[in-house]
Amino acid sequence: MTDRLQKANTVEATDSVAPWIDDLIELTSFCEEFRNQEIPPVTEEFRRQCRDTADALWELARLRAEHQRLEARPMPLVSYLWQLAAAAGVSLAEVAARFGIADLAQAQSRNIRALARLSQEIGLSLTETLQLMRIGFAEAAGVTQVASLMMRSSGSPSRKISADCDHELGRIEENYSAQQWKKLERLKADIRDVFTQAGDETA
Amino acid sequence: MGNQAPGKKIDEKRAEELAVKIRHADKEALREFLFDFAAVFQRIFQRKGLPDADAAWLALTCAEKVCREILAGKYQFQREGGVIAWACSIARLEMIGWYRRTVPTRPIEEYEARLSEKKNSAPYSHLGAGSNPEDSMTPNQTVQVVREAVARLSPGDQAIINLRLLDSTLSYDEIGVRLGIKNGAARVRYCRASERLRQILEADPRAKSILPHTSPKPR
Repeated sequence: MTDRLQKANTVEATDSVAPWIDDLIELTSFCEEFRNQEIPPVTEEFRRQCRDTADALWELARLRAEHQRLEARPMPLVSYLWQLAAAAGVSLAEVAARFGIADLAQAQSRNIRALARLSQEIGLSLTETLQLMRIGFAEAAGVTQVASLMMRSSGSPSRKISADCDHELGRIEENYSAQQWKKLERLKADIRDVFTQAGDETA
Repeated sequence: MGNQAPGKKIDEKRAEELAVKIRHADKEALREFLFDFAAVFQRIFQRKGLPDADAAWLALTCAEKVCREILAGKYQFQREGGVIAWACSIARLEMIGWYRRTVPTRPIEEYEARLSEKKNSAPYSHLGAGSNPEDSMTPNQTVQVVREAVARLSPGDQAIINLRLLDSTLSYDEIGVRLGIKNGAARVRYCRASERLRQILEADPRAKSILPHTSPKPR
């Protein structure tokens, strides 16, 4: 009896399913289940959430398309987002609220991570987001050269953010106080962190 | 919202058409697709034992992610060959993530063990949609290869594997009851059937990219 029990235990111990086989079976199982499942009745609340989610995705897609058409211009990040929203016919305040941004005017100083997530969702690259944030930071700091930088760039044929703009910002930032410099670096780090977490290749 | 009324299954062709429209930012298509997929995901998650609120939240998250990836052009229409299998592979990974985050205290040691093995080895990464390199199989192709391999098993092996394919949450106790055998026997038969499935898959050149890069387990 003991021998039989031992033998049974041995059989059970050696008979284990290779995890990858179980994985394949589970994936196949999930698909079968999905294909065999009828669309069930759902609550009104769930239906409303689905509609809101779809509408939010659609609005983001509109903003993304507009960004691809316009390409980032040298201006403060929030101003650029307003411009995109106006061109796309989308309510930016509503879109921003879904990202947890209650007050867009204060977003750069108070909720930079949410603003970075929104920018990324719209398709801005890390470089673009950083540069527009730096322009907004300079403007908020009352740096007068920012206005001329924006004017000059708006007249340029490419209208894109340029290396010149980056160079100019570097020169502006050389005059920041230690406190301003520290604050700017913290904002940059937060933006980089958001892009890295989302697996952005440019981060 | 949702042309496919409750009570109907999601049709692959219709889903594909909607995906094409979504790619072109069709708002109504996006609403319909998201609703239909979220509703079905929700029911599957409920059946897998997730609390209702979690099932609803996770289903919405999955459907949103699927739509987001379609909008971003990550679903390659010609290559993937089926939006349902692709969406299911995304939803399944989200579900695994949910288990990992929320239920470490539940009796899911088997699941957790598998997850930790996955975490430490790359071979399973092919099962994640959106990360397929050009030379790997799409979820749709993977599902097809597994189904063909199952069809080559003996009727007895097919019976036990199909029980899992129909409902992956079945315990060995439940499998045993359905097959009229004891729990331990169900476990051994399932393990042996899946071992034979492994051998068939290893012999299939198409399945090369879905096999782990490790050597077969010693027996």
